[in-house]
Amino acid sequence: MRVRSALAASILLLVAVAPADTAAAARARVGGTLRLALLPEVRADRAGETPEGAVVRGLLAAPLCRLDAAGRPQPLLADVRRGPEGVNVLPRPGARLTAGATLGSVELAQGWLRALERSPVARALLGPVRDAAGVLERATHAGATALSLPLLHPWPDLEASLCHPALTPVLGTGPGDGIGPYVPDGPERGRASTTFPEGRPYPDTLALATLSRRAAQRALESRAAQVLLGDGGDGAAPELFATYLVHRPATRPVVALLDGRLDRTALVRSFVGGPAAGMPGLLPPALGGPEVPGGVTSSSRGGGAAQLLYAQDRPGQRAVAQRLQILLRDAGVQLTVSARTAEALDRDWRAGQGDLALRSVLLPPLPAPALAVVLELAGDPELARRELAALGALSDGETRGARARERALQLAGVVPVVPLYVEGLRARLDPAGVDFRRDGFGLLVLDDAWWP
Amino acid sequence: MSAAAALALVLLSAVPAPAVEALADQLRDAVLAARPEAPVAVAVQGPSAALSESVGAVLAARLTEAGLPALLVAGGPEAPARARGQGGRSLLTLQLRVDGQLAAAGELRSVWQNFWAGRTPVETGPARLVSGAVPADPATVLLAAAGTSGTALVLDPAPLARFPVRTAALASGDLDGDGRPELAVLVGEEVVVLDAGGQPLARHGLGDLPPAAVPVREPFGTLCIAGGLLAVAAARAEATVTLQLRGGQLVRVGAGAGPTLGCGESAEPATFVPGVARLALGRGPDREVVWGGDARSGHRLLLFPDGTARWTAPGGSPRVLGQVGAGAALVPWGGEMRLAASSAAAAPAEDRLRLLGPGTQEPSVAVPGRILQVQATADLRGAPALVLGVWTAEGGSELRVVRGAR
Repeated sequence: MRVRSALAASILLLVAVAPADTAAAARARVGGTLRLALLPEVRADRAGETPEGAVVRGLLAAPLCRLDAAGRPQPLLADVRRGPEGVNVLPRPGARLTAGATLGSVELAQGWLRALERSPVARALLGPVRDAAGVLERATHAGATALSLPLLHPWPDLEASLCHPALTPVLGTGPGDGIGPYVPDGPERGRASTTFPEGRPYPDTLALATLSRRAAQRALESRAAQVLLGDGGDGAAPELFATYLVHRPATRPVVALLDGRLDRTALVRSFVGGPAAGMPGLLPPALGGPEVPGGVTSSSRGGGAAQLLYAQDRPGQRAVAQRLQILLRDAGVQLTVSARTAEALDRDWRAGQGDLALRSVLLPPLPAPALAVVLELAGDPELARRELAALGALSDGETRGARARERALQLAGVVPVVPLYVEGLRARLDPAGVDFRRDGFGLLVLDDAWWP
Repeated sequence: MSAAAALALVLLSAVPAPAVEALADQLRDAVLAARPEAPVAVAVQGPSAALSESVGAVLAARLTEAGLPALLVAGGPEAPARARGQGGRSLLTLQLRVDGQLAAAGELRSVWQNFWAGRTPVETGPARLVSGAVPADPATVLLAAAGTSGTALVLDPAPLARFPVRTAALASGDLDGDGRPELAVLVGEEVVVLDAGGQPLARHGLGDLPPAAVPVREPFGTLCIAGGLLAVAAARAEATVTLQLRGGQLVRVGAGAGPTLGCGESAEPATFVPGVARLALGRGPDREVVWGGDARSGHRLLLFPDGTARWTAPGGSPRVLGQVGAGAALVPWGGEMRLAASSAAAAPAEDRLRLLGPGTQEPSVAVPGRILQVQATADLRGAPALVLGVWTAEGGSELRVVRGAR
């Protein structure tokens, strides 16, 4: 308007003036609403254990640090420094929880104690910490500035592991219990946080809409949403969301029957959908694991009955559980499938319920910590300690990764963990969007996103 | 005669160019001492046509005054043929360089051809080396620049430097007192000083500065090199600092005065707008919020978030330009003040740098990425160049160099 009034006063030599409502140019446009269309299963994953759920959760509760596409950790809520005994996690000034409290070592320890209870990934990643639960328990009373994590054995990948969404600092279980670029403003809305350490996001508000697949696609096409989560994907991002069939030692004969009848490629094509691939090794192809799943090798028969636990909120798991049920029926085994919430599944399986379980985990993009997660699923702490101590002694990242891949090949068939398939993030984006990025986990980082 | 040469002659008549004349005197003495056969053809090549023609014209005049008839010919491989074609018996070929000094070096030889050699172009007579050097003065630098005001801009094929994160600010100026400009880049949580070839000379971390009360997401700040000091204002930090390059290290010599529009004598104080990558100028009803801008030699440039720019020349009316992006600065180019401006496209895979000015010519060049900073500087040979801070789609940045086409 200033420009126009000046024009009226005829003091300007007008060469070429863009319309007054021209959208911002080369710098980010500030304002507007970032609209996400979510499929129901994405919205159901409030804990952010799936890649899509982790993207949504990250907008309200950011991880401690960000692994860039090259696998280097960048501080976000805390600086992580090596000490003689282990690492010290130092929350950054300005990292403020929604409730107003500053993120300190007490809050961080409380959050991680809860994560240890519910997440195998959190247990695996903090596994190399000497008496992790005890250290965190004591830290909740100490109130020190930094959280010290003494190491059981050398573990050079700890800094990168702390960036995993499973270790996102949260105070409770509510959506506003973390520190994110947006602050919850109702159940499906958020507003830009002006105190977020990386700066406020460019849009003023965040809006989440849970829609059917068709409605979500229409919303994206009509630009009523900038991001669709739960459908689509691109081949460039690493596929790290791995699903394994874990079993009790006594159920090994059943698993042997199943393994011979399982065509992983057909399983993915018919019951999982892309972006996904059959996973013949304990580590997925994105981490250097074997790529070509073997076909059906046996049609031998057995007998008996077994119970399979699966996560009810994951449509892929439900379909795969039912497919396994059919395969085992053909082999003469009666498989009962039992649905659980993701949290109850972890708790009940550890409590000894079920003979088999489907476990889906977002693997870290580094082979050694990824193998740590697999070993946690195997449920043999002594084996995990032995393997990880040997891996951690290798200071060179390339050598450590190669050894982890080698050990994963050797441990396949030894540990009670059968790899099934691996999935990537299912997302579609408004092509007009700017600065949609992916982190080292292949997750979308929407913090910097804007559109003209 | 080219426009650049005409400009050069106008400048020469208006402002004495002692460096050019002093060099011509040195070269005249060297040529006379060699006693060449008259007439002598003079062919000069240098960083600009204007400077080459000026040195050539003054030298030819000096030789003629001293009793040795001289004529001017264009340089290059055809120079001997041209000299012969115009009746010259000797040829003086000279190369000029401007890098703190105005230096000339070349050879003087006969262009008489032996008729009996037939078609084989055998040239006879001994060659003598001729050279001279004098300290460069502002007029010489201006003449060296004049030749680059052509109708085309050229992007160097390789980036000068690459960074894993995005550049926030860029400045050019002499920090080590050697008379040549260095480049300073605010990137991530540090300031990096590079030489004209892109080699890092020093780094200085700013991570210890208290964070801004309302942090800014977009990399943003101002840098200014003046009087051998580097003033740093990063929008992510609460405080600003002044740095000095001492013994290859950047040393804090005091607090900074805050962000500025432009640099040096023309600089205007500004403030960061909390939480966003914007500068605020003035106070009260006159307060203007801008992406940034420039102030140089009485010219003032403001860049507005709607993709327009307001450029006010000394004593002139404001001129409003459309489709000007955030990467824009005032640059002295070919003896005139020009506006080097990125496009206003939101997130182009390929940006376009335009050189806007008083005339109708608007040279431009395509640059991969998004241009966010533009800085006028001089390259290793002393020729004018533009350094661009370019953001890549992957989240990193590059420094790219644009020159005028010769």
